[in-house]
Amino acid sequence: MIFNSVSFLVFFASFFLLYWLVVKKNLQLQNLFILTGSYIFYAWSDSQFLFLLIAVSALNFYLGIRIEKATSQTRKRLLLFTGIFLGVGCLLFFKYFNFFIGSFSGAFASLGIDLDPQTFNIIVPLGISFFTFRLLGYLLDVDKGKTRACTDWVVFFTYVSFFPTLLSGPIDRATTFIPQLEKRRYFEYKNAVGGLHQILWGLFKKVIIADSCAGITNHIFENYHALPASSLVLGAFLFTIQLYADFSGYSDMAIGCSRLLGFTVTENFNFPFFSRSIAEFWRKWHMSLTTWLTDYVFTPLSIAFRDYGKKGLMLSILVTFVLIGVWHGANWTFILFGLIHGCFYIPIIVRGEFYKRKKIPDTHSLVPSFREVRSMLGTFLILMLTIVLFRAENVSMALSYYKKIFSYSIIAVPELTWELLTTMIFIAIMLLVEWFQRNGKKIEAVYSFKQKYPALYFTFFIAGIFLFMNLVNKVPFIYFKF
Amino acid sequence: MQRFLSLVLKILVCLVILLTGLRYLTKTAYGTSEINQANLNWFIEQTDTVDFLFIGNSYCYAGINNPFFDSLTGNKSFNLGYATAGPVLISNMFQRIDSAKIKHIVWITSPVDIINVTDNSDAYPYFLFNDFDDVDYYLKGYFDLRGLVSIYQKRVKYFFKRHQPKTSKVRGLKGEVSSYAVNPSADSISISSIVKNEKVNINKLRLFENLVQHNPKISLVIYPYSKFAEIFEPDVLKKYEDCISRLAKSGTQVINLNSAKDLMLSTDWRNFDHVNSNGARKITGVVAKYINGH
Repeated sequence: MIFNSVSFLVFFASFFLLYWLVVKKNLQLQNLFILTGSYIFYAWSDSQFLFLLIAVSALNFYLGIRIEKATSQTRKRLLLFTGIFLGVGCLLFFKYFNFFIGSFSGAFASLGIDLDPQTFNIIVPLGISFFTFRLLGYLLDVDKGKTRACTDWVVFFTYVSFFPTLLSGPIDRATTFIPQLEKRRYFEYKNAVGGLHQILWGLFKKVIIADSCAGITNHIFENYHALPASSLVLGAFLFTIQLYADFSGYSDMAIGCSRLLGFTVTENFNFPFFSRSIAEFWRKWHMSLTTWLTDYVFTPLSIAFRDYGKKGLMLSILVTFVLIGVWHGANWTFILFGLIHGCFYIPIIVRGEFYKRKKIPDTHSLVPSFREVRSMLGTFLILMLTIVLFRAENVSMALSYYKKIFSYSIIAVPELTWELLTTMIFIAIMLLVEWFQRNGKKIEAVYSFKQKYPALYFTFFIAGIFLFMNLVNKVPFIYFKF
Repeated sequence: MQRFLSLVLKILVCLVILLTGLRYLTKTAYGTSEINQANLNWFIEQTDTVDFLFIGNSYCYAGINNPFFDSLTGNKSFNLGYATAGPVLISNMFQRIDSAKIKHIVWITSPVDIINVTDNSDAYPYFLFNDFDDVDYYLKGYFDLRGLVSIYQKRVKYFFKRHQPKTSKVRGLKGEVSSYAVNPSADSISISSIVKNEKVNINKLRLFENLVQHNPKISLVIYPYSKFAEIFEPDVLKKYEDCISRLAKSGTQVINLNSAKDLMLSTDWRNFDHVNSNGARKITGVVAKYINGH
């Protein structure tokens, strides 16, 4: 059941009405209702792994309590490592088993040793990366004393499987989400309208922009051998936009649904395309993952390596970025993607600027300065070029794509189609709206119309999506596979 | 909560009004396309001058070469066939023309006329979708959101495209077979999958039978569908053939081209179910010969 489907619309509408009209008066019932809804939602998409979701929830629920109650530090550590080992082990098994076996046998084959490995057709459970990170974060927080171990199983199980964020995040922390489950939620009109708006904005990004881009990028990446370099640049550009529109669209819908149910969920994106450096970009892109890795990987590593000075910092950052890459999937392309992005931090660390955040030069100006534009374009260009690795099936394909890009055919005019033109118009609309809103500002004319005539505003919004949604390319959310 | 539900209700009402308005606004632009409309209007004005009116779906406009027919019979004929037209659309067409003025009507028919996917452009998947998956998706039902959205999108698109001159060449008014063009993507779609996927609409069969029974001016030309008969469910074929037998027994003139063996040559077909200009000349020749003989 995906967000942009009729089945989800029916499911969510019924859920929403029952949630606020029938079970609103009892907190326990509210949570139990969300839990049941979440399991139905998960089973609808991936019924074979529902048991896994329940089992890991139960295990971590138990471990959390035991860690908190453990009197000796050794026992605490043992329990924590058991949880981490099982969580990471589960992730490694489902996501990376075949990759490791394939890579090892490939390495041995290059030495002339044929290992004849047995690989299995392992199906990756939906959302495994997201709920595993949620659980690992919980255990680490309990261990550090940042949060109390949850003793209400309904609350804990609901935290793990909360359906709007279950399949593709954002990865919410126990410290912020569990307290929300422990308090009764009250319906707030303003919050609900905001949620509805966010869902529609996410839907616009997914079904109009991402799906339109997908048609063109699929064509370009599948036929890159036969296309001029200019088309390949266009493909990289559109895939960058597609990835953002797809994932941030999903996140917006997830956050919007959560708001409709009375929850505040971590934002995942903060207008990353207006970043003026790669470091700033990673503070604004997939924020729930990057902050998770910062807190649980980078910070402990940089503390552990602090005696090594800048080299230790570099190592910590590289490990963190390799993990960001690996998190996305079992492929060398992702590892390389992470490594390259990690390398962009090396000059910053060398210059001693790592902990200094660049100030936004003029947040009040609608027109950016030349320096700002130059930095933004430079960052986008780096992102656009490295994102080829993200899309390529393997490293050799990415390399031949790059080779083709840097050729004389870069000056050729790419094929201009009506589809491309309309896609570009919608991309421009999205970027303009985000540019206006980047500092929490509102587009006055639109805002006042929305305030005065909310029904008309939403009608036009929905009708616009209805009439321009891309029906030809039925592309599943990219981050589902992560 | 009440305020929010009231907002949602208002949005739904506004949406219904907006989409209904849009549907009404774009109805004439797409529901009956400009060319079909132009053909029909032309015929309404010139009904007196026409001796033979050919009706039917794309098999009619692709299969009858009117100038050739006229030269063989010495009559004046007109081709009012257009894509997807089955009993429902033809019945609607009859209501709009002065049937008293029509001398002879020749209906180029086949079992396609009684399956669900025909009868108006809205329901004609080739014009709505780009690939087979979409067609399949659409056929799951009109109430499928995707199908519904697609219909609106196409309507709006056609509404804005309606004045484009290129469409006027698609089927022409004079019935030149060479100028007839069905959506090129049709060739790449497996019609069999569509037909086998769908249930038979019995009402359509009844309508077809009633229309023919109550209009003695109608003669039936059975399109040579035996070439692609395997795409039909056996019960569809049987019902259709039984219906034709009943009509023939009750006095309707029936020319069955399935027995015209020379039409089975591969050089007579443009795609798997539409004849090309060679095939059209053969069909027209057989029909003209029959008419001359009667």
